[in-house]
Amino acid sequence: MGISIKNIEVYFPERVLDNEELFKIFNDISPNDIFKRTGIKKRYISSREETASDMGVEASEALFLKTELKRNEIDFLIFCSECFDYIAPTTSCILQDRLKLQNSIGAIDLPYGCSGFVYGLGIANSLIISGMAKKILFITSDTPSKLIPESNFELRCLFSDIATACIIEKNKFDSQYVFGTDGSGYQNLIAVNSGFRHANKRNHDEKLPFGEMKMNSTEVFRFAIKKVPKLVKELLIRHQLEIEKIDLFVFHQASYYLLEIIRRKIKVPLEKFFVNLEFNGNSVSSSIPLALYEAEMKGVLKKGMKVMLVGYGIGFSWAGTIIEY
Amino acid sequence: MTLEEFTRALELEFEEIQPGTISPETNYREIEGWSSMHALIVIAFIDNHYDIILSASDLKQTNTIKDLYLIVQQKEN
Repeated sequence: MGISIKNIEVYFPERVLDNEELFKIFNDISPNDIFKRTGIKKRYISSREETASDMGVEASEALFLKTELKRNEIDFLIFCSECFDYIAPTTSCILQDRLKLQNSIGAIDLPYGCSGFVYGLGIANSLIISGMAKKILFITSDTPSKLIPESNFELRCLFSDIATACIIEKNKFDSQYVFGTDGSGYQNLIAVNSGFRHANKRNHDEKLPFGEMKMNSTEVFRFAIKKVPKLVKELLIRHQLEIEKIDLFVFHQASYYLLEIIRRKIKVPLEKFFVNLEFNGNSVSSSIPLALYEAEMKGVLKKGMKVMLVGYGIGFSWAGTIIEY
Repeated sequence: MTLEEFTRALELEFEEIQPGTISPETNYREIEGWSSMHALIVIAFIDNHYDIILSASDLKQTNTIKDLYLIVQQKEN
């Protein structure tokens, strides 16, 4: 027994940052060269007052609006983000109230980035198999733009603020999960001075009150091309499946070049390797559900397909599974 | 792969460079249009051909294409 992902809905903030605007701001490489290096033409930026939880509410309300689903059918809420409303209480508690969900639900925050969606699926899988939950509302939402200095061209080219919401339910297909952690790489992708550690160095810059994202792109790249192919191999072994039996590969949408190197390493044909960075950017934990949503809209992803999902990034952490969609 | 073959094959990875522009003695960071993206291309190229993932400190020790070739040879042995 495993889980299925249903009714994915997406919320995009109003403000769009395209390559033409980045060129105007930085007067660096041309809009076309930004696209060639990143595979991205535009990304979304939340407004100053808009939090990840606000975006999560929008995605969830769209889900309730478009489906027959009743709010009292939800018996668990998972909110995956790295941009919470408060250190305490959990944002998921606040979301229970805002979304008018029952008081009898369980609600947890999952503070993970690019591997967060698959981590959340793993937790949802355990909750459902053990009988602790039947219908889980799973929200991913992040606002990386609020951690990036205006002067950081590289990060502004990549990251995007997007939220998704979906329902996780029981399914017959037996999904296995593979997780990995290497905390020795934590400084290579980090929001510095964002918590209790080095509290005396908290950034009091009015524009970056929550800390500053820093990334060593070479080390993140090395980590990903080393770990992800091994993760793919391990997933296939655990599911006793040949790679040809996987209908679609949906990996965290980090950057086009990295995805292309990974695709070549694992020897998957282009048509089975879904990439949708172009008009979205890297949306952290929302990138996989957003990719599933768009793959289904485009008719690339159909019910019953076997889909490999792989998240990897900040931590360093990585997680993968194979689901029946 | 000889040093010359290594140089030509790496050159092909840099799409914007005309063939024959770089030599083993070329300081690769001085190639026109060099960026952090090209460092990733170098890492991926060496990983693809030798199954060796160079670190940032490995790269720091090198300047020329020949240096890259030698560090790979060293790691292979």
